[in-house]
Amino acid sequence: MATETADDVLSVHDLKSYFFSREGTLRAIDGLSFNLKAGKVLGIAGESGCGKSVTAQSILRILPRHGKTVSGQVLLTRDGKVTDLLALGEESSEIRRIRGKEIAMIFQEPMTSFSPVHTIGDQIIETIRLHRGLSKAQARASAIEILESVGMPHPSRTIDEYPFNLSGGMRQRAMIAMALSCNPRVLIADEPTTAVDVTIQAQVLELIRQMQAQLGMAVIMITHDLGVIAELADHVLIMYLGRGVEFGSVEQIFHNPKHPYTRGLLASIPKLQKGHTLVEPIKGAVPNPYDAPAGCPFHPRCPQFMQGTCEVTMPQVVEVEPGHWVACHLYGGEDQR
Amino acid sequence: MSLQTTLRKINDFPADLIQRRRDKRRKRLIDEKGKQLLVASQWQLIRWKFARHKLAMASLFLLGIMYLAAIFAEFVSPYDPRSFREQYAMAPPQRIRFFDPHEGRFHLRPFVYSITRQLDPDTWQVTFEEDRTEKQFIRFFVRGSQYRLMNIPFLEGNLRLFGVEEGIISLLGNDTRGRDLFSRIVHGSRISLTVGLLGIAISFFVGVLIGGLSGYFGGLLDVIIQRVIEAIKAIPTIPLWMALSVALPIHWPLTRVYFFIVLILSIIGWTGVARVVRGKFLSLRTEDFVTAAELDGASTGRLIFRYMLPSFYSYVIARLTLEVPAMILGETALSFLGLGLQAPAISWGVMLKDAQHIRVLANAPWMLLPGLFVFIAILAFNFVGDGLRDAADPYSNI
Amino acid sequence: MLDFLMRRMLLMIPTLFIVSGISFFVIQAPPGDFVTAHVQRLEDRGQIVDREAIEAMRARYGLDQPAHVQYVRWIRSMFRGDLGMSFDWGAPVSRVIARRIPNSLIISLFSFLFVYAVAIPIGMLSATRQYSVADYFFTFVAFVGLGIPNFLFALVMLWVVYSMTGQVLIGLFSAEYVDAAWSWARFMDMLRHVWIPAIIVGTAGTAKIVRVMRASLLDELQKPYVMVARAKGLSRSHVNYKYPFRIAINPVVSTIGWTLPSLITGEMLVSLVLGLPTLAPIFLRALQMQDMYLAGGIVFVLTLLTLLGTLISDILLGWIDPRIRFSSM
Ligand SMILES: Nc1ncnc2c1ncn2[C@@H]1O[C@H](COP(=O)(O)OP(=O)(O)O)[C@@H](O)[C@H]1O
Ligand code: SF4
Ligand SMILES: [Mg+2]
Repeated sequence: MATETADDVLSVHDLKSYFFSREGTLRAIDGLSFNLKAGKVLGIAGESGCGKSVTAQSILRILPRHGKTVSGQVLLTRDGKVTDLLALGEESSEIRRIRGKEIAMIFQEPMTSFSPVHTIGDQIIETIRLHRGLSKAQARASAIEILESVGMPHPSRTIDEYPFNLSGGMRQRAMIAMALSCNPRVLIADEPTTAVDVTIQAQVLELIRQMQAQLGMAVIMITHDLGVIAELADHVLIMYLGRGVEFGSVEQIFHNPKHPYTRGLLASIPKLQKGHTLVEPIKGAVPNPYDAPAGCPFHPRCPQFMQGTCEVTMPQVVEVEPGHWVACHLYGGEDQR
Repeated sequence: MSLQTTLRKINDFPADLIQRRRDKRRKRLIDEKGKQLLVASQWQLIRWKFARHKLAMASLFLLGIMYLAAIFAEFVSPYDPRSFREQYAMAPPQRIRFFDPHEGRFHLRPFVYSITRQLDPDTWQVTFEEDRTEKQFIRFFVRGSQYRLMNIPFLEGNLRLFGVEEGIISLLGNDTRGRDLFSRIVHGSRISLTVGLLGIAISFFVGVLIGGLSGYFGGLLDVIIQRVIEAIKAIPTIPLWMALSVALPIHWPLTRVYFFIVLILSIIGWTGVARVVRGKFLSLRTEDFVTAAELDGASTGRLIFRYMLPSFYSYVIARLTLEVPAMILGETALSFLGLGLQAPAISWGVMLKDAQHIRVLANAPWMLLPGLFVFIAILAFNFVGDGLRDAADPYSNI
Repeated sequence: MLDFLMRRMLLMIPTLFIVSGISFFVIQAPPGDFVTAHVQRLEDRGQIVDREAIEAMRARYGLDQPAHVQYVRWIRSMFRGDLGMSFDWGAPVSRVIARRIPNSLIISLFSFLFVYAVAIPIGMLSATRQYSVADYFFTFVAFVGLGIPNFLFALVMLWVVYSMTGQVLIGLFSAEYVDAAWSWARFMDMLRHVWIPAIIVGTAGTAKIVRVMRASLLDELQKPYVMVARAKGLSRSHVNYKYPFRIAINPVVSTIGWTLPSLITGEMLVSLVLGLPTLAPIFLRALQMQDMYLAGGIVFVLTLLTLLGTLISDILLGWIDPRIRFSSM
């Protein structure tokens, strides 16, 4: 989806990541493509379970053991040099130099994302020393500085706190500090506001926006809350059952949505009230990912379902206006697969 | 590419199968209605989950056979477990054969060779020789010596599951007095396999009672009970059991000793149950359905037995199953030391006591075989307990 | 931490009282008292019994008084380190116990080391290579270890060693050191013998700890912080070593509390089978002879040891796990 341009830092091509278990194969990501432009914010949205987190984990190659990225490309551009992350070994030193340094990630659960028996300082300093080759004392000073810049109160004291002694908001700040500690080119934020209080949510988003502007990094903002996307993103990718169904600029997606799924998502948030939870978004539920429907994966729930086409063939991705891509039979294009 | 195709081949079929099975389950669950059936479906869930645990299922089956054999011990065993046959003392286990190399032909009916006792005139060593010319075919449902099934007067008979017409059949060998080890092991299982069950039954009632009191009333009573539990848990089990079992008067009849041994073994078991029950009660007291029943004016007893207990007793039973091995072990150890049940009684521990001297072990190692049965029983209960716990754990998914 | 320690110690006091009560119950449980048993034995041997001496003895031990008075007496003297007299040995109980307890402790200590030194690495291996051949193999071995009672294991070993070498695997010392006083050479000699009983005693415990370690590590390995640490750029082995292993150890440390009593129990049975000069044979004899002050004293001392073990494991746990340390403040 979307054409490649010179200013892409990250481009993902036909990514497929599956989970293998006794119950069968779960195609969590099944042919996903998108680009991320340097210094811009890409929002990825979709109902829970559509594969957003797995996308992030596939990019960093940190899927759990029973998960495998079976095909695709993840191209990272650094100073004109392009590296395919999927071509690197999962445990190779190249990918380990990229993780945390070039691409950093913020996770959803600030409580369980820190080891409970180490101080947050310990865990931040570890990252800094790993990638920046500083001495212990220098790394500690740097960690305090970063904690300060993310607005952590009393950083020189909180650095020695254990995670369970911090509030949810403070933990998420520490998480952001850890992610930003090595000045990454790309920041992936996987639902950074889902697990914190409503009052903290705005602060966390504001912090990410600030830091993005300050450090000039590209951000992938993953969320199931379109309000967050509207506020923060430059571009938007809408995902459904492990595929991208629509991609475009934030104006295109919000003012001229094409895909029935996107329209459904937008319709389900009355007037984009912030912090509003979705009320019965779209009829039906996300199907069992073990056996995704044939044809268009959205067809069992689609109000514009076309008998004889939609359940038979997979819609091809077409560019409906410059930079605006949709995968739906309503907009022509057929016979992919 | 090839990886993908292989994986697809492996995975696609079972996924479909599992989906279909799931749908069936869901339908069954939906079909049932009413509160009473809600409990039933909880048990059904446990059954399904348990059935998936193959090792547990196999163990349950094995235990079933062992208990059946224990019930019909007189019928299953070819000989009276107490009859001395000095001429066959320390006879080794016989090999069961179908093929006679002597004749060079197969028999459909299994047989053993006759054995005769030989005395080495120099060393005074007793050995048993197989007489290759004399086959003894194993007959099923034969008439053997007279018995009374479980000592019930009107259940007299002499039908035995198997036997031979002449000489002896010794599947597992004979002991130092010529008693048939197989018959003794089968009879011994009556004691060895029931102490655990009776023990957890007692532990269950005592544990639920005391744990319930502790959790339901709380306060000082709770504090005292918790201290007592802690103290009991701190005492090493075997020494405590040993010390208590010597207090049993020697002249007591066997059944009374048996019952008290079970009581002694349960002294530790109930504490675990009490802890669980207390914890559950503490958390359940605040649950909606209990509050609702309370508001409805349900009595304390009714509240406990009708509403609170059913919500977790599957879990308690699963936990208790894991206590059975320790009790089997306890009985065996006590009898082995001569502190529990004594000689005319037959249990696996009593039998092992006969095997504790190195001279006996060296000449008749098969006398350790009761230990193998202890081992099997302990393992089987462990597996069943594991399976039950996984199945009854409300947090594990289907 | 200090606070935590204090609270922990205070909690032990009522426990100790209850334990002493149970131990005293053990002493009182057999019908009659030990003087009766003593007289019985003398008479059996055909000796003339001096009635007056007997009554004097009863009075001395307060046996003519009600049980609760005797209990208070017993407790009182216990504070002076006096656990009563052993009839059978004609010596104070404390001295009889003190003579044998080092051997018991050494076996238990060695099997304790064996249990954890073996179980932790195996548990780690099984969890990080879940469903591998090694995992299945060790799981199988662990189940065998779990199923075999250690006195039976001792019997089997006795037989195996005898039938292979003709040696009887009995005792803790070579012949020349059995009655010798403690010396470096005697200690070394014991080290040569102690490992067999230590392993036999430790097997069942090892099997249990392997399962605890495996389950707890499997649990930790799928926690989000593992993925976070990998996302930072740490290698998998570094992550495992620094985070999940470190945290999965905590439940294992808390098993020390129940491992100790089970090791002591196991040590007793194995000592009886292998004829080791520990507390076990004395205890059994005391029970058979109705030398109940000695028997009750041994129960009490063993319990004291377990309580001490639990205390140590709690302290260790508080030390390595900040969550516990802080929660008690
Ligand atoms: N560790 C895992 N093991 C098995 N399946 C997983 C795992 N993580 C995610 N999945 C499956 O992959 C799909 C996508 O999940 P995820 O990316 O977490 O969704 P979300 O969009 O909510 O982040 C879901 O169907 C989920 O069940
Ligand atoms: S392809 Fe058909 S079913 Fe799918 S979204 Fe478009 S109209 Fe709906
Ligand atoms: Mg997610």
